[in-house]
Amino acid sequence: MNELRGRLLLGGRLVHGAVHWSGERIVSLELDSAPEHGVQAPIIAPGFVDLHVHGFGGHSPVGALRAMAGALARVGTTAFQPTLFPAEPARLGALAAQVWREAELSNGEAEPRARIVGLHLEGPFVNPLRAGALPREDLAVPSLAALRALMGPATGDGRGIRTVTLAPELSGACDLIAELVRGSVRVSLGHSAATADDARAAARAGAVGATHLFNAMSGIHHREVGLAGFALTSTQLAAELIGDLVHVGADAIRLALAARGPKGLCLVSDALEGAGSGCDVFHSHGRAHERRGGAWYYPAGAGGEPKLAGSALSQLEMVQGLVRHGVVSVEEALTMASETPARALGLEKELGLLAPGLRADFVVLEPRELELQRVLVAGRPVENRRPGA
Amino acid sequence: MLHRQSASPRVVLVQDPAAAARLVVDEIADLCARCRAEGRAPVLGLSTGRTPVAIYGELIRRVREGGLDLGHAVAFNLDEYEGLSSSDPRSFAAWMERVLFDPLEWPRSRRHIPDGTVRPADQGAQCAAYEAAIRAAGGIDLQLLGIGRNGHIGFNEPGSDLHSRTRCVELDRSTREDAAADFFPEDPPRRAITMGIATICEARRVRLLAFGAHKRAAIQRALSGPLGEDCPASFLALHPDARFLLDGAAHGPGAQS
Repeated sequence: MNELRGRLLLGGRLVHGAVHWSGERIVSLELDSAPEHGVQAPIIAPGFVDLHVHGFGGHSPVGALRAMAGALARVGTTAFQPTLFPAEPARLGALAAQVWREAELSNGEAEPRARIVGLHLEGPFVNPLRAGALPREDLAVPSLAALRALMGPATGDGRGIRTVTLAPELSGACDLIAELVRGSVRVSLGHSAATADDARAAARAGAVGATHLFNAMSGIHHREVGLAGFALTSTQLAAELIGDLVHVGADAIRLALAARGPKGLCLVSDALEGAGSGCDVFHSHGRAHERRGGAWYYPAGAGGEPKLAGSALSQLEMVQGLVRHGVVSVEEALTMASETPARALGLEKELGLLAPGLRADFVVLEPRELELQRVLVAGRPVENRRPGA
Repeated sequence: MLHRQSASPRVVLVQDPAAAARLVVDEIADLCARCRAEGRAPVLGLSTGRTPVAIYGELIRRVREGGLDLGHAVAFNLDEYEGLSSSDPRSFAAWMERVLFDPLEWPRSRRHIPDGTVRPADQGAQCAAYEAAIRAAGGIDLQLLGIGRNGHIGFNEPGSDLHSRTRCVELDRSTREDAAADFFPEDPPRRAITMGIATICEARRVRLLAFGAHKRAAIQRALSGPLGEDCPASFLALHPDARFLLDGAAHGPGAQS
């Protein structure tokens, strides 16, 4: 039996004790009624779960998914949804099938990499007026025919699509929500100009998420709270939150936390492939992305202001930054990065919590600066160095 | 004023009774191996009821697979109903035979359980002899326990003294209600013979098991309330090596249901 001893994240609190595992699974948790090591003990939390990540470590899900999964594991993200940008539905469907094939291979291999728990399609049925950094020409108008082209045959040909971000105010979108829900696909509302009523109707139709809260969505006005306001008030939606302190300001995070608590907010990286690569520039969609602070920007046309795209940080760096800046507590940050997204995916009996029977996915953090000391994926240690680095 | 030991009791969360059984039997196997090296017999304190069933099943499985040798182990049971002989199928003696002793052909000379048929006038002598037999065996190495809804351990009902020894006790109303189904249509017994709190706390290790939400209130009281006679299990906080093996439902907060 293997053991890690320290302060365990349990039910949103840090409790002194030990976690024991055998093979891939947690066997037992031992809780000390009185601490012996005080606050010096390392923090042991479930591995992080990222609902929204476009790439990492210089790798994108298309063609380099294994490398991406390896790079994520090295920074403590032990399960994730590779997130694909929009494309013409049939082409995106084929791309999803290709990525999912590699995902299943990666998941089946002994190498300790982050587990791929399904794909997240950020579009294409989103509102062009709220496209943000998504290429407008790749968006699609909602229709059942387009959805079928995207999802493939009704029997499913293994595209692994677990989450679709869509804008509920688009004509025909509610039919798509119902159809996706029937197919056990999570619908997350985003890139949207929805009113609160639009969002409420979508939630009634089965939508369960809000994609990167506050970003690329209708914001709060006191007579029309928009999608952001609905996501802050409805416990039915698990709201993604980008924690780089660029995409969402500290006070907006405090507002979200006051409204929803750590069990309503999923810390997502929304990282682009240049994140975690050590580079300050990378190219994607034919655009040069430049890193500034915790985020990526690309030049928007002639003389235009640089446009904010995804983040340049890992979930780990976000946890560290949010705690360092006093925006959230350690317990809140860790819960938002693990348990809440696992529950959002309906995987809380499998991963994302420290509980007997679940996967032995752990991060061990030094208690003051939250430096990452160890990562375990399904009970196996992850080498801390990048291959060749 | 009684104070809790620094780290006792430790809570061990497990998925289900089978997982708890594997952990406890691992520990018993280690104990047996160590005792063999020391040239002495391991002494086990056993309990009855639904809670330890998985442990006894696992013990039998390991012995039959050859991974565990209980050949020299000595057993002392916690308690017995007054008035029931070992030939009464409702007695704990008969239950132990069915569930553990017969399948393992555990020799009579190495198993002990209070005799429910001893006359009231002779109970004092029987109880003293039971305590003496435990001491003569070298004391209990590992004591298994369950917990009642009212916080009882063995048949030490609320009100039991910290210094209590093996003795006859009156059963609580809630204990008799929980036993009623086993005795229907007759009334459940009113009295029992049980090891005392002090007897239990002298065991070198104590392992209490509880599963299911119906145990949660008693567990919470035992773990976090003050030490007191209203919850006999709370006294286990004074023991230097007591562990509570619980599933999420019995533990409640912080665990998965």
